[in-house]
Amino acid sequence: MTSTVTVRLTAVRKTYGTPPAAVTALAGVSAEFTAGSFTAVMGASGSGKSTLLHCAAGLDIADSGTVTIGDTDLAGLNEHGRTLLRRDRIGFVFQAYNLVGALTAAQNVALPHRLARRALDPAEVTRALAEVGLADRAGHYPAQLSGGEQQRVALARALITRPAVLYADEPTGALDSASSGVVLRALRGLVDTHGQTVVMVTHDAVAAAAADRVLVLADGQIVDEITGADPARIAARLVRAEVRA
Amino acid sequence: MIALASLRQRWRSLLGTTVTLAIAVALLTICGLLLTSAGPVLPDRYAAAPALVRPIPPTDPEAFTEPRPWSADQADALALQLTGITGVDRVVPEHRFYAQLIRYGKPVGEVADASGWSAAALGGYSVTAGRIPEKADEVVVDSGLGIAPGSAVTLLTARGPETFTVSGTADGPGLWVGDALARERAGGVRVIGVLGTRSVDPAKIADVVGSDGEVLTGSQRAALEPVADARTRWIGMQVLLAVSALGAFVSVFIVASAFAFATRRRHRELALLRLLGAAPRQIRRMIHGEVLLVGLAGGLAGAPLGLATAALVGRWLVRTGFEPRTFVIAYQLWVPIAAIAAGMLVSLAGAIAAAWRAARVSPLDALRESALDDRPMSRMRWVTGLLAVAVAGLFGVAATSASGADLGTYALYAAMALTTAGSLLAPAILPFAVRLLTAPFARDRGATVLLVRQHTRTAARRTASTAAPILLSVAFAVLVGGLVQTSTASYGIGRVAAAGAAAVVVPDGVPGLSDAAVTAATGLSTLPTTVYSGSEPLAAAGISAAEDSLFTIGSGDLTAIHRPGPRIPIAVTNWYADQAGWQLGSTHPVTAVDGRAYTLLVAAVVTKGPTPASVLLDRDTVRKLDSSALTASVYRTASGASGLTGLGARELSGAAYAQSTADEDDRLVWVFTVILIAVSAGFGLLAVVNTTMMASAARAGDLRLLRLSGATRTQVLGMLSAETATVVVVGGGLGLGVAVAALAALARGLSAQLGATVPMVVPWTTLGVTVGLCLALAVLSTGAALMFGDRARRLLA
Ligand SMILES: Nc1ncnc2c1ncn2[C@@H]1O[C@H](COP(=O)(O)OP(=O)(O)O)[C@@H](O)[C@H]1O
Ligand SMILES: [Mg+2]
Repeated sequence: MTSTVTVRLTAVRKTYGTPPAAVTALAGVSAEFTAGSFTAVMGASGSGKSTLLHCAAGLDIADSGTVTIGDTDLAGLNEHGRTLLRRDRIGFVFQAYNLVGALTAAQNVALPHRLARRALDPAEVTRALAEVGLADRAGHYPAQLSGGEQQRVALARALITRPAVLYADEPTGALDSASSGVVLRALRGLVDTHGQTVVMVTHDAVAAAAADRVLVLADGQIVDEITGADPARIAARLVRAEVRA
Repeated sequence: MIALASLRQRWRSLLGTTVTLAIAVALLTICGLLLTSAGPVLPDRYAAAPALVRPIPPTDPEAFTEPRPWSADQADALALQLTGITGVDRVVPEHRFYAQLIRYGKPVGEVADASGWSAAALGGYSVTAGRIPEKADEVVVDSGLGIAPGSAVTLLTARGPETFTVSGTADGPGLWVGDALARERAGGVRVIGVLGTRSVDPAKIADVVGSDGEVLTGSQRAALEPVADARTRWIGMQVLLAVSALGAFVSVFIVASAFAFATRRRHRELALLRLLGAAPRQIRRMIHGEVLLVGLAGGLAGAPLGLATAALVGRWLVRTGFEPRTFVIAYQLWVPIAAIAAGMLVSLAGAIAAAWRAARVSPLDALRESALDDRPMSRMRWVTGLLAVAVAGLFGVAATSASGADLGTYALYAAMALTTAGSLLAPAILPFAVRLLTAPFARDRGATVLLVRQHTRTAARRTASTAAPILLSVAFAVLVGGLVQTSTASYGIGRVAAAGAAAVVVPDGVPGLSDAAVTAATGLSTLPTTVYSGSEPLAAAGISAAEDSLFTIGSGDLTAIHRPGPRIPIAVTNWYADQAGWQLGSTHPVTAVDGRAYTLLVAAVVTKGPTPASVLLDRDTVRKLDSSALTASVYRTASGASGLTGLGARELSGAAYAQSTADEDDRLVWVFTVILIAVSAGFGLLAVVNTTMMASAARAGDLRLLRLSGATRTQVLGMLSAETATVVVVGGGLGLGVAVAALAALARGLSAQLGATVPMVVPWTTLGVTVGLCLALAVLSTGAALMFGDRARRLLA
């Protein structure tokens, strides 16, 4: 195993339900996500994108195949071990409701540290919020922030924990294009300036174009891999993949 | 920190819970203060005696009977021995008998007995005017009454009104006659006072007394409080304990439903915390932290409230008769502190299930688009719900074979368990019950019925949370009301029916009827007394030949008891005979109230009769043994008794008597019932308001959708009202079921105990009032939640 590979999935299969009504969400997926890479996962609705993310984060357990994060094989962890892994090594951003409503932006950013009972310099929180352009909103509650701002607070949270990998599930799915742009630029910044590994599920070709590489899923299998493409080419390849599937 | 932040955001929705806890803590503070303050108080009339000797009291302190007395001769002998102890100046056996001062035909003051003048020294009283009583018709009265020496006064004694001459007045409350008269009238002696100038060694007194009695000094002397006071205090204690227990149970229940509700609403937030790496233990701790803070807030508000109102409640208890007149509140700091701690424990207990559930939220739910959690029944819920049913069953079975006070307690426990079971299983029962209830309207083409039916099915748990407090209120109100009516029904009706009475003569301002009153009342009656087997009291009653027909004879000859011989012929009830192993013809040594030893001879066994006494004697025999015995009531075949004036008696019609609270015990029980119903239903109604408002607020989104789909404002309100009404009716029905099950167990237990069928009484009025209140409050708070919730307000505008 090379040290540059952060997340590795090998022949991961996942089926929901029992035989007569069973749904195969992942039909043997293998993929590697190297350190500091930004990968987008695309595919039609129901193609298994979310399931892939859940399995890669240890939120769901694959029926077969292996998932490793760094040197840790997720199969070897119990529920508590997976909780600690999420706390210490994985960051999450998703479509909405990323923040605890009762806590301010700054408190939300500091939350993983608090859960781990680790000391945290308040200046670090301020710096992280500044990096996503929200230095002046530290004391605001989520209800006082726009959707895009909320997503950026979630990014600042990931910035502070320094997770091995940041998973984003449709982070721009509920945003207008302007807010989407800001959030995507912030994500990109995380990768470029801090070498953050990012795996982002999206079905928006524009969002996917912010990534270094695009994996296309169809019926639980990776059917295409696109690198260094613009939105139009990605959209075209996507349509082809879907037709093929 | 998260707990605190979360509370800051949600305090509005937890306000109802906090108020509930505040009231519970106030209640616990009040009950705690009253309970710790209630203690026996030394009667003034013994205040000047450093040591007092009394006979060995009965082993059961809850029998509330005077101890077996010494005979006058025994008391004299003991007194003579005690006089020999160094430091002892005087030893005074107290000869006390029933006597009440009558003026203008009415009893005066609170003094209801007279003693020999020598006993005045025990209270430190002396004559202020005139002289001490010497002749048989002389009496010394309280100088405060303003009666001049030389006046003639009437004393009502067990015989009837008697005329005395006031020989003097004394500086204390009481009636004192010549020692010779007191010795003759009193029969037995129950207190011997030891007076001394120097301190007398109590151990020396104890040595002399030996096993004949016990020596009381210092604060121990308070044990000589009147038996009636001890009994009143005991009843008060039962009331306070029951109220505290009920308050605590109901609070746990309310906190549990409020937090279960809140946990469901915060599902996504909890999932997010889990996703970000919060361990289940951390989530649990967070919920515990929250609930402890809520408990603390409620406690800090409730304890001062309790402290401020305890004196008021205390005075009320004295006025009502739950505490003796001597009662005063002693404020102890630890009581409110303990109450606050109890409040926090109660809230913690209530949140156990919610915390457990919150910790099991899947982190995946944070990523799902709709994190709807309304799974009606988890396996845990089934298991605990059915377990609660089983526990209720056990208590029910225990109730059918229990006796006395345990009976009601078991019935109450059964109801508590059933209430818990009912609210746990409600999500499973409710949709079914609602379908049944709305079946007649199923063909209605409007949307309301359809929506109501669907809603209770898809949001079974939320609906169940609303139904639970209704179940609780109705169950307890009906149970407590029915409990009392069922258990007293047998006595109240039985008493009158057995005597076939058209009218009943009862005491009026006096503890019982004198012989003169009984004679004037002309009717059937018994003369209750006590005989002692060893030092244990045994309830006995004297009857004359006229009353023989009221009893069903099992064996022997009842008329034989009216033909006294050297051994006193008696009749015994079959259940006492079974219990004590007495048989026809067997003889038993007893001591009577005059302190003398007698032998009873069982001449008859009776199976049924209108008196609770175990032993029946001839009425004249009782009068000889117990010169202060008084009759409780006289049953007449026709109304219109005359010549009762000045005898402390009045006449009631049979119907009025059966329903009256003339009987002091009935009145206390009735007030007790009202208190318990008020506490349980009061808390329940508070919870109804709380959960209805929470549920309505949670539905704002749903309702907006309805409005957007074209429902008019009236339709939305109508639908909500219909839904609320349905839930109230189903909750009330379940509550009624719980109460009826517990009452059935109680009625069976009573029947087994009394050997006669006791009908189960369901208090329909209480049921109607409680359900009505629940309905009104639920509909009102649904409306209020919509009016005041800002999102909802917009939607209804
Ligand atoms: N918890 C589940 N239970 C049953 N089926 C599921 C579950 N989660 C996902 N699926 C099914 O698995 C397939 C893949 O789902 P998902 O990974 O959510 O797809 P995507 O995110 O690409 O839309 C779908 O057919 C979906 O219906
Ligand atoms: Mg998805």
